[in-house]
Amino acid sequence: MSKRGQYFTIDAFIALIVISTGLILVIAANSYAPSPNQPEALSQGIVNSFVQTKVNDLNNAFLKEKIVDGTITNPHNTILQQAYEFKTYGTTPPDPDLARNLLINVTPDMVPSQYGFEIRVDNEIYYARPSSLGQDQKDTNLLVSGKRIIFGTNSEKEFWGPVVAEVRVWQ
Amino acid sequence: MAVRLMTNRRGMFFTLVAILIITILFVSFSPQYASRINYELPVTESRVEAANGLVETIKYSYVPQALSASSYHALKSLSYHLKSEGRGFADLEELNKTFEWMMLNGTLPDLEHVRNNFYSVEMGNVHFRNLLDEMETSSTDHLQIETKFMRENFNVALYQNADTGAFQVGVNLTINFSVDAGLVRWEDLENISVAFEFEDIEDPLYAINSQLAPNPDLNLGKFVNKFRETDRSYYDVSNTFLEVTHRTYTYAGKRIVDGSDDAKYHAPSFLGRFVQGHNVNADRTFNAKTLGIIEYDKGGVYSDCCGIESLINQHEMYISLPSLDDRSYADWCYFRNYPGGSDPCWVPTIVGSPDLRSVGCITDGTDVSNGDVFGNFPGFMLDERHGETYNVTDFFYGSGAALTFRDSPAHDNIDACSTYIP
Repeated sequence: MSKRGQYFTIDAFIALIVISTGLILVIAANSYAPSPNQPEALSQGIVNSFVQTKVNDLNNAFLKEKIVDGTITNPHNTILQQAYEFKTYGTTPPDPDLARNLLINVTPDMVPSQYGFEIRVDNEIYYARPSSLGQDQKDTNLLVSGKRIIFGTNSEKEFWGPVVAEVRVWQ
Repeated sequence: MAVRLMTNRRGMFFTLVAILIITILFVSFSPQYASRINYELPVTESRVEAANGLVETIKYSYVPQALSASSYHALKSLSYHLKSEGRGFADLEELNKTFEWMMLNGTLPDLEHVRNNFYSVEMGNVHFRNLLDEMETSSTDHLQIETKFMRENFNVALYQNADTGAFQVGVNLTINFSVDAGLVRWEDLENISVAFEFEDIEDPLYAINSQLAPNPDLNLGKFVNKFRETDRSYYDVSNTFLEVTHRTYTYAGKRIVDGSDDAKYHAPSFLGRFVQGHNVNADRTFNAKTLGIIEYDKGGVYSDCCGIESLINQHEMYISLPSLDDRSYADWCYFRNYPGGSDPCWVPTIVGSPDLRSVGCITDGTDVSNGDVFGNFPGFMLDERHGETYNVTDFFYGSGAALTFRDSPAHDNIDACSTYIP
């Protein structure tokens, strides 16, 4: 009888394991949610670094060239401040793509290629890069946004802002 | 059969016991309430981080930058105001009060209802209260975080001291604000202090005194000179010439006389130039000292830390000779007289005073032998102290109105000026 008892106990364990595994699989299949941790870290990390890093702190050939030739008049501007001033106040000679080129130059390899990302300032898209997986921002199940408020003073001592800077990351 | 049933019953019993044990184990090790909170923590954390970032932005970046911008434009507006009025503020206290109102509200205290005057145009929307409004709106609209700034007890104070130096002006302000992100709330009372350059603001000393009537000599119209710090690190006759040409400003605080700093040689600071006490009145006998408003420290009217001066360029001011040949051309000396012979800028009314000298290669002079004209600034003269400051005493010559280049040390070599003057 004790052998039978052991048999049924083991049987019950096996049955529960099978049932539990089945339930877990069914529940997992119906409630798939991609992990937001990585995109969130990326969006927050990018927007924070762009809001805090000054253009003269970066060892970047593009920025150094623009400082030397006088295109960047205030090297103490942060990256997003500088991008906004390029876009809003223009440069001499005019270069409408300068803000975008600045962001392209300071973002290589910051975001893994499987993630798409977009940088917006004051609701205007400054730079966007699609996901290598072909996932579009509109169709994605996971889009994380990091926002910060930016402002500054231009070369004419005019105060601008506050406007919102946003980095969207999706997969 | 009975045995099999009994066996099945036992089997069922053992199975039920086993299920019970497994269930107990499941319940024991299933995620607890605290664990579920833990799962939600990243969202909470993200919200708190966003709010914390906003607080830091407001405290360390936005308010200081907004204060600098508002203050700069307020001082610029006040300079326009003084030019329009033709007189300075009675003292530094009046300057501070008017500045506070202008900086906070973008208009003058007695013109609050007039939003379309030129002071308001200069200020635009950069007055401090408006910038606080914009931050409140922006944080609510974009971050869904409610920010509130208290609109009273700002305790604004303008200052200049050794920390700001002569070419920056400082502003202190107290601000009370709260940031409410729903889950968390911050309340903060901060003393904000900023220092900024005042470059390109019009110098009230020029703007006021150049229009003072009835003295015809000084009735020059509203002449404007904008503050711009010199980029010259030393002085000789060439650099002094450039200083006059470019009308730039140099530090003129401490004046070491016989080994110690003599306060009476201090030039007015940037803030001091807004004060009427410094400026001469119509009959040019006004003595600021008698009004007791001169402060020799803390960036006051005449300041050891922050005195600045430029040299008068009479081409720009349309001065005709010889009517203004009785004064030193350092701006604060030029625009005022102390009574009494001890004043550093005091000039006897007798033309030909030994206290004043023309400067070879700078002052206009004519070589009477052949009519050649040297120098570019007719009437330009300096007192001995300023001659030492600008290192041009070797080029001193003549005195009074009837100056000729013949008297200049450079006269023996008529090409000497081209050696010195770029």
